[in-house]
Amino acid sequence: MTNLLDMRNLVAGYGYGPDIIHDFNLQIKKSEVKCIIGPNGAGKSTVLKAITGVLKPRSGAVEFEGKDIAGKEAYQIMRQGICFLPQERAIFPNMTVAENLKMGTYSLQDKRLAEERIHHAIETFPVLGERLHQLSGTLSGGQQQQLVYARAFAIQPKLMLIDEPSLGLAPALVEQTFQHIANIASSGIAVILVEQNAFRGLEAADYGVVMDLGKLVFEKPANEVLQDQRIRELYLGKAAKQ
Amino acid sequence: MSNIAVTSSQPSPKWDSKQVIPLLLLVALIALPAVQFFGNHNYVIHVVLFAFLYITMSSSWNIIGGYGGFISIGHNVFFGIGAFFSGFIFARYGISPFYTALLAGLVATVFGFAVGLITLRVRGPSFIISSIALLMIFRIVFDRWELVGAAHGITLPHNSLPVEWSKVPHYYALLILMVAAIFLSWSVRHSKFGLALRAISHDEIKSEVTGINVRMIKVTAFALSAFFIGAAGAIWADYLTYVRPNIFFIILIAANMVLMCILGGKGTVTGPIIGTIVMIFFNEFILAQFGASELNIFLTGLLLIITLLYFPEGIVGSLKQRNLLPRFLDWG
Repeated sequence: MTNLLDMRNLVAGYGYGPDIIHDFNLQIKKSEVKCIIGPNGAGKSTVLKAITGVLKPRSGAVEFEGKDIAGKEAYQIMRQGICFLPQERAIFPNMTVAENLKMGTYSLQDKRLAEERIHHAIETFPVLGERLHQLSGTLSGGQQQQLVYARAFAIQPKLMLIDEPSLGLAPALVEQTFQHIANIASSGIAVILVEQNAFRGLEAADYGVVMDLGKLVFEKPANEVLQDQRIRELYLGKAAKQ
Repeated sequence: MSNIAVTSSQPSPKWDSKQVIPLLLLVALIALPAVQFFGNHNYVIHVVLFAFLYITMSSSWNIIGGYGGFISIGHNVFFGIGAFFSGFIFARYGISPFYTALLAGLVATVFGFAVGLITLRVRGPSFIISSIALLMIFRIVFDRWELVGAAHGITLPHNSLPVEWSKVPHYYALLILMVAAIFLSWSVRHSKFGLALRAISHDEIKSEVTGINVRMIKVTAFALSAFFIGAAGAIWADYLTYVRPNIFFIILIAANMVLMCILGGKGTVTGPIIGTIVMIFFNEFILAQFGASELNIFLTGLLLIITLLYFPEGIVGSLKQRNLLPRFLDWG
């Protein structure tokens, strides 16, 4: 099976600063879930930003469905069927729930299809249907989280990039969030996940991608990653070796 | 309320206050110049058409400043461009600004698009400063530009109507521009374009990864907001019968637009209208009571401070938050 996303020898960094990621390779096939883990500052989020076009790669190739997307504008890349959930909650608090859902279908030209998708999202998350005209900033944390994933459903992407989904969430909400991610994955959408909480992230993934200092350390099936000796070194430092 | 459509859930009566009150107001405004049959009430006509002018401008400014979140304090360059464009044509070729006003608006729009491509790369304080810089550049250029009269500007012929009717053409022209500007603001507020604009005002990166062409949307909004300001400038040039840089390219005009929007509630359709009415009529009332003693400036400032203390989102914005906004003012 061909790769949905194929990233080769990617180099990226911010502004005039040094390279953050060096020679990075990442491939993902349809309906796979990969979780990128690594210590703080490894460049995990930067990889996602380089795919989305929010950050323009300095060199290397990024192909999506065989088409080169490196260096394109973010909105053009997103319209190819990629959905990106940034670190902070990916909703617009100054808009109503209905408007947020409409934003999910923004790039659709077909109005009827857009409405269908919104209806479908509301059916999946009925709580939102009762609050369509409420400002989304006034929803509870759990409801906001539902809105984030309802919007993602409405987009119906081929690939979803999720940056630190559990960051700053109460433990009960973390469970709920990973349930949403599992639902997305089971509907055939490929997912690249960046997660600080390595154990929880790997549990949800097929493959674990381990990064350090902007480089790929190794990639393995998720259930084998935690057994790897190198993981302990990365997270606990060289001292753990002795 | 499982329906996503904008329609309200309760069956609306045949005569809805939301439509009836604005329509009645419009009819009253169309009929108002009839007071001239009963003596010379030029002052009333002047104050009302002055309100039309500023409602046109603050509603237009609201598109980029209110929905888009880009606070431009140099927006009267479009007012000046419209005035000089139509004034120049009138002085040289004798074509009245009433015929060229929409063309003047178009010139302002094209110019707004070009400027927007440059200045909208930055936001926040940097954008505000760039908008003031634009105004200063225009002031200097027009103060020196001999073709359009440099600092003296252009003097235009007065119309030949009897004195009690001489303001009426401007009254109706500005009334039409005002209604059109409010309609434009309303259409933007309720369109997909407006949705994107409001998303951009919240977070540009988040908007971009939703599939919005952020740059195109904000530059288009900037250009749109210039159109009626330019057209109003042309009419205002004819009204004053002279166009001069020190009258059109001063920051006070732009500051008024911004303050009126903030007072009424920026980002709402009716906010700029209410804000303008409150500010202009309050100012005129103080002037009429105490004369031109600069007390009006002091008291208008005080009014702004006190209002924003109790209505931090502007009059319309805060009333809406508290669910106290009368239905006929709730246009989104």
